[in-house]
Amino acid sequence: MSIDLSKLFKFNQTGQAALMDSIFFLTIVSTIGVALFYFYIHYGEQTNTLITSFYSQDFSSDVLKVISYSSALRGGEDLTKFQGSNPELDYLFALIKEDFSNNQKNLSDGTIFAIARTVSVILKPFDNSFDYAFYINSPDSSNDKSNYYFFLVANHEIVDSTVSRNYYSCIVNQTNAEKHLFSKVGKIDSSIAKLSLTKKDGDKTTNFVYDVVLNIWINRNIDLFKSKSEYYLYQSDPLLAGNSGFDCNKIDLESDVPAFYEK
Amino acid sequence: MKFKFLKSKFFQKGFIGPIGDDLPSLVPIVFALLLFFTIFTATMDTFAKKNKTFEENLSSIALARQLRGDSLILDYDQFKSRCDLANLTNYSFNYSVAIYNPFSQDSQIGFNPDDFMTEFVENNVNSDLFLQIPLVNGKKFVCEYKKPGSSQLSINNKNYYYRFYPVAVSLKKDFDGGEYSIIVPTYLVVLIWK
Repeated sequence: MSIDLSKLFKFNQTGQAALMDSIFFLTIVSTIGVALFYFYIHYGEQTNTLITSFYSQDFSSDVLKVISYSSALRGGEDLTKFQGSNPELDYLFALIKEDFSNNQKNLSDGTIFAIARTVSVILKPFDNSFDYAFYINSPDSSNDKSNYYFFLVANHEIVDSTVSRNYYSCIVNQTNAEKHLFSKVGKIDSSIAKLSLTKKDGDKTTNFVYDVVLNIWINRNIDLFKSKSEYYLYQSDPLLAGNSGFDCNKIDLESDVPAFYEK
Repeated sequence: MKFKFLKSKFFQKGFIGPIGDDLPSLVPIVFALLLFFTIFTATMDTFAKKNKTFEENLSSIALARQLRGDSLILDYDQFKSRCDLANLTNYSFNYSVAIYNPFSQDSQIGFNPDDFMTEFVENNVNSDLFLQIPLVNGKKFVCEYKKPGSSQLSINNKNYYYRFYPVAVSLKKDFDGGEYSIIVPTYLVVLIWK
């Protein structure tokens, strides 16, 4: 009687080999599973961001369109609450053009209030979540002077432990001051339109092309006009402490006849 | 032969049989297959759900673009014709669209999106939350679409979201001294629900 030992030995080894093979298989499948799981978690993030940006872009461009279509009272009163007679109505952009032809430095108070009120109505659904800046500036930066014709900021601030919504109309004293301002607020959604403004000097007519810009960002409850050195001990801040590059007046839109707050 | 027998016993230790020896290797194989197919199924399920969500989001953006046009609504007839055209498209969701009334008393209280939901559900004829022309007892700027077989919109509906778009609406308003044509800024409220 003889037993083929080589065959017995082979069966023993085959069992061990099968076990190793299965462990390799498990390792490979686990790697594939991890890759699939990563895909499962992250699929669609960029697409989601892109779709959200479609909405943001539509929204931003529509705001500028609606501002250009809207009627306003020349004194800046609330059109929806006006009770008087013979209202002096005009398009908002017509008021801006008229002011520019009279004075190329800044807008009249009535036009400032009309713009502030119109933009606040349009952005009402997002009033608690977003802050914004609406400004008109010349894209020509060939000189060192500030080239802002109008600058409006709506900001949430913490005053005496209370968050309040404030509107400011500002004169910008320093070139590129807005870059320091916007550097504090994080990501901005921006839309830009062109506005042609005309200045008449006797018979001579000069056309200027300005940018109308709306910047929207998520509310951060900070005082935008404090310089960085007041916030962060930032020693080499190009803006001196106490001088943010803006000379601002706070607007009261709540009253029937809009006015500036006392400084 | 005895020696051979002993040797064969030595080599038989731990040896169950040709099939029995392979049984332990089945455990990791079965576990691996289970793991793979579970994750694969979950991934395909997520893939399909997210694709559906993207398609719905894009459709809702397209719907809003169709209804608001170039963000200027000249009269009720224009809004109605855009609404009728939008209702012909077979969207995969239900929607209710209205234009907020900037002359509304509610505008003084503060903004609460759930007021729109309540208004869409109750369709309160006395409410002035949605714009109507004329401003009193006029035709409301409301456009609604419900998929065939879908249930009614209710306050308890959890599966919904809003989109808001600025629009300008041309209307006639009475001031002492006469009727004036004005263009007021307001916003289009789009409620997507299932």
